[in-house]
Amino acid sequence: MNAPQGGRPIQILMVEDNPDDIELTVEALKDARVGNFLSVVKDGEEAISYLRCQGKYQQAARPDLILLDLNMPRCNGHEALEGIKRDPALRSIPVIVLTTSTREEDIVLSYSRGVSSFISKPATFDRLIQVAAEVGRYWAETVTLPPNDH
Amino acid sequence: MPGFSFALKRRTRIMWKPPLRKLSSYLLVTALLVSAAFWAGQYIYAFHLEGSKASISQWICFSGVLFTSLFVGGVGCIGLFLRRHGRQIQRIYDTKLKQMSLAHNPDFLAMNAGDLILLLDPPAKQAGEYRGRSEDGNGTVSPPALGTPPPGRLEENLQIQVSSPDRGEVPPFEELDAGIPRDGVRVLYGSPKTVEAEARKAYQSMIQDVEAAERELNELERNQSKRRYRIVSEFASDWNYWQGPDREMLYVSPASQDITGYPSQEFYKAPDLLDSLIDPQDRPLWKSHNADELAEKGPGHLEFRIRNREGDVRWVSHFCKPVHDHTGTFLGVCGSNRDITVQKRAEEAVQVKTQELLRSNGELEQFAYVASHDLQTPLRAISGYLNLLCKRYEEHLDGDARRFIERTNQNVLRMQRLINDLLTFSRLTTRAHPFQPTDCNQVVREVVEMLHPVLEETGGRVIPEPLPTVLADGSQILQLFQNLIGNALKFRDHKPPEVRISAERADKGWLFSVRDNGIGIDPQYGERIFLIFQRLHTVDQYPGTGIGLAICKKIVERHGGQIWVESKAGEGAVFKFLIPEQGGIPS
Repeated sequence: MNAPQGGRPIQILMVEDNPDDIELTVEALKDARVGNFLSVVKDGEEAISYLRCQGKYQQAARPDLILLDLNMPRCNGHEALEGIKRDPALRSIPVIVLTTSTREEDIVLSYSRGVSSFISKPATFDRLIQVAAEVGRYWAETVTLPPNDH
Repeated sequence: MPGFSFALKRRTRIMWKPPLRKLSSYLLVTALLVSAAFWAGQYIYAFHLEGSKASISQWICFSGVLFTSLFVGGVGCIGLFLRRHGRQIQRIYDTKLKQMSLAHNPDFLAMNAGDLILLLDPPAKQAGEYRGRSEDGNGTVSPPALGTPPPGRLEENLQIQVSSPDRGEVPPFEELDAGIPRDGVRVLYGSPKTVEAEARKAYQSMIQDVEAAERELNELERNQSKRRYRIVSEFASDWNYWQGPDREMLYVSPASQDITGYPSQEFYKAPDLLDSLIDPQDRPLWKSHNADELAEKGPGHLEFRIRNREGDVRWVSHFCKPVHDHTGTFLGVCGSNRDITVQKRAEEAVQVKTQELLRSNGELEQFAYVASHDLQTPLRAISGYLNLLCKRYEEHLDGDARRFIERTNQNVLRMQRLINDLLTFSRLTTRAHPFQPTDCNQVVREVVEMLHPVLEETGGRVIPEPLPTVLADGSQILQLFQNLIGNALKFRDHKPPEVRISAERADKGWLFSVRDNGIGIDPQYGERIFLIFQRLHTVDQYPGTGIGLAICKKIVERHGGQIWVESKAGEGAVFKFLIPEQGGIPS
């Protein structure tokens, strides 16, 4: 897959265990008209398997962007983040933490481990749509992402 | 002519006149006697030679030469004798005086009034009730050191003695002899040899007396100090001991029994008893401490457990110190053991409580996290789906359906606010910051800035007087003022709200007042309003969760102060709170 150019669809990997949050985020991205391909995994372990194309994810496409929840069963967001940023093949993929947490420790730890943004999940759906639109526009149009075949 | 006479009353009382002062008069008398004898002899011889050729001038010349030679010879002989023996006696006398070191024995009074020396013995002292102490250490007593002079004639005599050196003159012997009570006085007159012998005898005896008295005194002092030490050591509640260099017990105080159940005798019998009492868990500690102690490292401190005679565990605070004599020889170790079981148990209880508190704080933190995440998540989903419902199925919904959805949404929002407030409340302790000097003027300025939209909307004013700097958690003080000023603006009537903030010095702190012109509070609810989720109005009248004042109360109490309200319904309210200078529970 080619590196995304301005306004072109981007490949997003969402790491989230809550089905409601998954569905609402999908809907919000839809509403915000952010053109993308969204894949979803339910925890950190799956995320690492997906990114390394292991097990059932042999055919998985390398994402342009990762949306990462912190509170997940088994391998949580922080552990997944550490795994991603320690892996030279994966560390160039931008990670956005999207979580319910507002804890200072979580924020500081996430940034110190190299996340691109830390977003607290908006309380209302309207706000979620707004955030989805902002994120989509920013990452698909404003920034230049690293080539994802690397 | 006084001559040499001997008056011996009591050997311990001596008055001796050294011959040197009277030397001139003795010599003169002797010389006169001798010259008179020869003059007479010469005169008789001249009569025998009646008619001889000797002239008057020859007579005079002859007798003059004879007289002079005899006089000089006599003077020389007597002078030599006195010089040798008198000085010797004087020297012996002075030396004895110094040896006796009368300064150390106030029972003797020594007076060296010029050439006159008077010694008074203990009976005289008892009779006279005075004490003298040599100040310059050479046996000479200055008059002021004499203390209270004895009464009666003795006193007069003493005054004579004392005053004589000032007058530069010694009263005649007869006068002294007559003045001193006969039965308490020994006046020594006699040839230097006799005086010397008597003086030797008298002083030997006196030295013996003094030595005996000193021995007695030392014994007395030793006994007294022993008694004092015993009383002090036996009164002590600490188990004190002195363990010699060979580990034998030189002293064990009776308190050992109170602490260990073993009387001190057991420790004397078996010095290792101490070691065997130490709780097995603390033995390594005790061993390494003892190694230090034996190495004479200096004072040591240790806390350990012992098992007393009944097998109960007692906590002991142990202090010890190596002992050395003045030459630096190691004399063992002195130790003191205090029973601190009660304190230790209290400390342990406090520790347990602290652990519990830490755990419950941790649980609270966990709860706060759960509240923020797990409780918020379903609410967010509900609100999200409601929103989707509205957006995607708008054309299928009638007015009722839309109203129900709207009401559901409002409740979700309220639930979210309640959860957030509860979170804020719980974080007052779990997210506290250390106390630092906080300028309240700055805090109020920030709050006014934050409340600017409300002030704009209501036409309200905040009027702060100069405020102090207090030792506080700055972010909490900000929250406190924000809640109080926010309330003052919220609970307004038709008038534009006006909030006055002031502070005055109070006992050990600052008393702050936040006064408004709003709707006021019925005094019967004065306390209830500070409880969590307690509201006096419906949400429609005045929105809010009812947690703001509970947060204020918790903040003020965390700073060691108090908060209360003074108000009447319809007359505005004054919220007062006290922030102590020191205090509170800094985290």
